[in-house]
Amino acid sequence: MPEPAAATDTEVSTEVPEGDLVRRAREGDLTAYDELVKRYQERIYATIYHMTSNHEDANDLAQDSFIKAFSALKSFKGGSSFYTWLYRIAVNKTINFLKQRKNKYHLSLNDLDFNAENDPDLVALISHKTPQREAGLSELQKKLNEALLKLSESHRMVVVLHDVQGQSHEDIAEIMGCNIGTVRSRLFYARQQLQGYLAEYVKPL
Amino acid sequence: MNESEQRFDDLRQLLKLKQHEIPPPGYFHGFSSQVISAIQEDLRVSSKPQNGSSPSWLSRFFASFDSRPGLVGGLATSMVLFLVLGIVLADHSDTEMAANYSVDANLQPSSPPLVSATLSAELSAPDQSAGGIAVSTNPPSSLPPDSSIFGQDNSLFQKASYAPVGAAGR
Repeated sequence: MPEPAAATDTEVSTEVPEGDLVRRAREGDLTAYDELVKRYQERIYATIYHMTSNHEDANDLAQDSFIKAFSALKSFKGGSSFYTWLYRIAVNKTINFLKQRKNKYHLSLNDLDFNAENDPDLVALISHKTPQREAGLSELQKKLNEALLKLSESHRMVVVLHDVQGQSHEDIAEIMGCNIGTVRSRLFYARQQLQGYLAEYVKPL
Repeated sequence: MNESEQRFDDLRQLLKLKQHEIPPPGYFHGFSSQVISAIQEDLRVSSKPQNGSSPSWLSRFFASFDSRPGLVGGLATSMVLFLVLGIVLADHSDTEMAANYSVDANLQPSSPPLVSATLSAELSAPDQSAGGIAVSTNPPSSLPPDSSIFGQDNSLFQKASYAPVGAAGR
């Protein structure tokens, strides 16, 4: 059994084409799969984290998603990109997990990075609410996550993929297995709901 | 940007805060190695049965329930149905047997001539029973009530004396 190589992120993303890595991983090459994991780990983790608002759950689900993807790699026909296929596995796993957990949420939020305090858009949103900027950001982070958790799983997923991760409607439709019209309507409805939950921070419609 | 996007400008700016949420420092350094270790462990566990004997059909059958839990319900329902069907059929066949038995019982009056003929043959040749094999068509209920397994007399019964006086001396 081949041992995973200790390659860095930069080596991985610039040198080997994705299709080649997928073909090698499908043949059981764990070194190639290790490189694929490194390439997508941050995006997969972030998607799951934004859906669960819980670091520990996101860690477990992200790992499970990569493990599941490896075991299902033989069934990957290449009809879509590996990235989309992997996303679909992670999204389905997360939605199933959230449905099983129902409405029992436990927030375990990650820290905000240094740039959050200097983001002019965010500063403008909270500056008139509180004089203490950092406290304001933490409070805003909590309220934002709580508001997101009030949405249904499918609506939350669309908001996370589009407004947080910047995916296109087409990609979201492919990942979630629905048509673009459904994505648009879900996005509109979810934003309306969020606007209501976060009325003190955003202007009314 | 279309009108709908403009309506939610503030909200989209607010959602940008989510992009600043980051996991603990160094979290991703060990992530892929954890995934690969877990995969290696899975491969090691799954390759174990192949080294020895292949998993039995029963274990494969039960393992299939993991991916399709609905099968368990279906199997349980079909087993219950089979059980109920078996009970119903058993009751039905018992009723039929009872009906057949009563029909046989109604037909019995036609058979006594055979039994009486045998009895009369035995009575007419009593010496044959002393030696050789005696075949009787009498039902068990016709055994004399005073017989005992251990050869002791049953004091509750008294032998009726029906033999002719001359035969008692033999």
